[in-house]
Amino acid sequence: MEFALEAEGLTKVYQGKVVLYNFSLNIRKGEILGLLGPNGAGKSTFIRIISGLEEPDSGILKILGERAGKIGRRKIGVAPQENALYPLLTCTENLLYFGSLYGIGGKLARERAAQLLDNLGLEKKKNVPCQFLSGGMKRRLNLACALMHEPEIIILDEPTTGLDPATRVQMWKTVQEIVRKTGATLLLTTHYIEEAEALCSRIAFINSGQVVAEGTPNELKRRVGKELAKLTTIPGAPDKLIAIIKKINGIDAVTATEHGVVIEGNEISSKLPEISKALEKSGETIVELSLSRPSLEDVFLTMTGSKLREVVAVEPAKRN
Amino acid sequence: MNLLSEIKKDGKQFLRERRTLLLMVIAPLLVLLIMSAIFSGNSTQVNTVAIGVCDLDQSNASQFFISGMENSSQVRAYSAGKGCEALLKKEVTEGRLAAGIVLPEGFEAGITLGATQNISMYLDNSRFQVSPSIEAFVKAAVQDTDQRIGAQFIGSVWERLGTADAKLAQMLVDINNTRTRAQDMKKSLQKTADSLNSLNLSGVRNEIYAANSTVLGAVSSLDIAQSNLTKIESDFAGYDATLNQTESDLLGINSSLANISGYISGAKAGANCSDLAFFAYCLSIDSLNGSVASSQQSIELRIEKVRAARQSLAAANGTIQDFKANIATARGGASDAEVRINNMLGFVSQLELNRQEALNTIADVDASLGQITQKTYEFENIIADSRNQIREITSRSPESIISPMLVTSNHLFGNRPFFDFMLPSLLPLILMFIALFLASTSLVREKNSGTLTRVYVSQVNSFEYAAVKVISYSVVLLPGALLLALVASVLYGAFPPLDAGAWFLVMQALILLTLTFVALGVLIAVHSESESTAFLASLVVGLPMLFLGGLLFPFEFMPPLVALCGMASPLTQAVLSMQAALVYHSPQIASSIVLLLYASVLTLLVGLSVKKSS
Repeated sequence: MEFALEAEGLTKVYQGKVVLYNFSLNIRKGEILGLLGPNGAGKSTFIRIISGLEEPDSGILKILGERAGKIGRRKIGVAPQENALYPLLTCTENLLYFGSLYGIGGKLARERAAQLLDNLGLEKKKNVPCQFLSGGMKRRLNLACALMHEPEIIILDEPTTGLDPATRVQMWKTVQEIVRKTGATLLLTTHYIEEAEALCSRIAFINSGQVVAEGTPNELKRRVGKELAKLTTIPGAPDKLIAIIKKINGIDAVTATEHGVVIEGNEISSKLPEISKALEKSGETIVELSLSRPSLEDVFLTMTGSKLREVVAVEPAKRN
Repeated sequence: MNLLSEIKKDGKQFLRERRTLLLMVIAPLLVLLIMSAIFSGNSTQVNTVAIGVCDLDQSNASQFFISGMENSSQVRAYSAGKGCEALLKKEVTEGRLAAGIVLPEGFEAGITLGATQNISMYLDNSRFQVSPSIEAFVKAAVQDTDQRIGAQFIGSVWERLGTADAKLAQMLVDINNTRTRAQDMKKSLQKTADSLNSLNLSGVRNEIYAANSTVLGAVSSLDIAQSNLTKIESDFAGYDATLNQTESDLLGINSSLANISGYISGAKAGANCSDLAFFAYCLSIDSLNGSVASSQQSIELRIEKVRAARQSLAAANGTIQDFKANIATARGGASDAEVRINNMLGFVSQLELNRQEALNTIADVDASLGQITQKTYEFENIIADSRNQIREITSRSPESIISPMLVTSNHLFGNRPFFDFMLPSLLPLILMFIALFLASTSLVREKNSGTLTRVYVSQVNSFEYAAVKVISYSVVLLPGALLLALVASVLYGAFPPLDAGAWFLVMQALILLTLTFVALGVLIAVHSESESTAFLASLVVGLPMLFLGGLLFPFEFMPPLVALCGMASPLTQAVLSMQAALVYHSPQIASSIVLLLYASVLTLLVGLSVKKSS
């Protein structure tokens, strides 16, 4: 398996405070990895180390199979948390400047800038100073600036922080489209569980400078609990219901309630059509269905003993 | 990292930022306009400062002093009375007057008597910018009055010297007459001396000597004659003695012969002559006896002759004695003549002595007259010198005596306003602050906006980044520098607008200055967290340089170490470079090198700081 990034035993200490400790994480080529963790967990430090803004005190970092160095790091595109843009320059000028940092200039730079602006829906704003762009547009331009040199690894540091939900969703789509088109590896840090779930093929939870859990979202959820489906039926004979549902594979447990049952299993949601059919056959009509399954928040709570959202809640949204 | 992209980016940023544009263009022009208005003059004289005067003397001299000050400043007179001085002091102490002057009672009288007058001055030295000028101004007014009084005094001295000069002129005439008289006397004496010298006493003496010689010759001849006579007499005596002896001898011989004849006769008698044997004998005896008899006759003849000779000798001797008596008489006359000749010689000698004494006296008198003449010349010279000195002294104006030194300032750069000379300092100063503020705040803005992080992420070399950033900001600021130089040239005539050499010198100085302070601004930015911090840090760095730059406070007044620091300041070096370009029109290579060094070192420091902070 080829890895875009390999971190092994990274440790970083700031003024006596351990920010990263024995931090190990591998990111496969082409995947989107979400890095979740509360403030101070070490996300930014890890990103700064990958970006070359920090050097680890110990540990090994490999980029595209090579020890991290300047050449390797130039294959990384970083869209920082803040909109790192020159507000008085137009969108095109910003792109051309950041492209020039990577030696991209002339016609190639102009073509790439136009392409990116087009891809990110900023074509009409290409000559507008970016101080006049909306928050979402700035975010997209911020992302575009990181893509000017066509990086193999893209790092998005909280790309939707401060955006309204609609813009956020639009941004997710943009990111997915870029990854699809470029085939780049994407490392995403976020506070938003739903963002991670929507975008990431894999998620790594970090807390206190260490990776506490990693895997696909479902894998992670499974580690902390099973899905529960609560059914209320008419006429609603619990014993009958239990007998019918238990016959379906993948159901771990069924317990009776006052007017229905609670079904427990790993992937109950996928079994729901089968359960519904079986109940209809037996003359039971589902009048109420509620499905509950462990969230990534639950995963984080289980793994760390603290809630991810509580920490997030105190952080003010960043506006540009 | 692409320098051109960086310059384009920074240039656009600056151009689109209204405040930056204002700071770059309007502010410097405004500063130049204000400064040119403030420093449009070219005089440091006090002319608007109010100075209070308390005239306790109320005399012409005090009024003269006050009127002298009124010409150049606002003089506020206070009524002379008891409290006048206290009131004046109060006014100064409370800041209503910059200075107060008290002219004491008896001011004029004291001056007339030659007593130094003490004028009290109360100075508000809290106005440190003008108080030295006020003090100097008042001292100048005092000096002016001093000059007037001194000039009056010297004028009276001049008059006295003029009188002395006239007397000396009269003395010259008298001396000239004296010399003429002395010279006449010399001539008379010379004539007398010539007359005395013309007396031929030696001829007389020679004649006397000749006479004396003649007398002496005669005496000598007489002496010789006498001697000869004496000798003759002696010879005669000798002859006489000889004759006498001869006579005696002849007589003796005759006697002897008589005896012999007797003997012979006896012998013959004793012999028998008849005997033949005796005959012969008797013949011989006879012959002999005849011979003897003959001899006796001869002798007797001779005796006779001797006696006659003796008688002749006696007669001759008598003649000789006569001669000798005559000679003695002649010698007696010669001795008289000799005495007289000697007397005459003594007289001539005395005459010669007297003449010599007279000549010596004449020579002494002549020498004295010569000395007197010489002295008259010396006196004349002395008097002429004295008169010349008097004329030389009196030819000087009394004012020049009071103030023998007069400074004539030749302003080699013309009588231009202060601003013209401040311009070479102002341009670097303005540019320094622009460069510091713009570079530091702009970069901090970049830092805070995250764009700088993005630059670091691109793995740009920190030293390359430092160099590019410094050059980029400098290039962006270049039009500002160019505008300043253009304004200085066209509006203020700092240098001819078409003088390529001047443009080169000015621009190289401004470019090096910009590079240096941009590098310093970037360094400040690298270490600043916010724009306000960067702004303050720029002020903290810029202000000391302003004060150390010699613009507000001259190096000459600073402590040596501080002055040294001031000289080492990049602003000072830029000012020196600009002064060399605008005032002295010669390249200041040392300053250019120092600035280049500063720019390089600061850029390196930026690089190091970027490396560390990134």
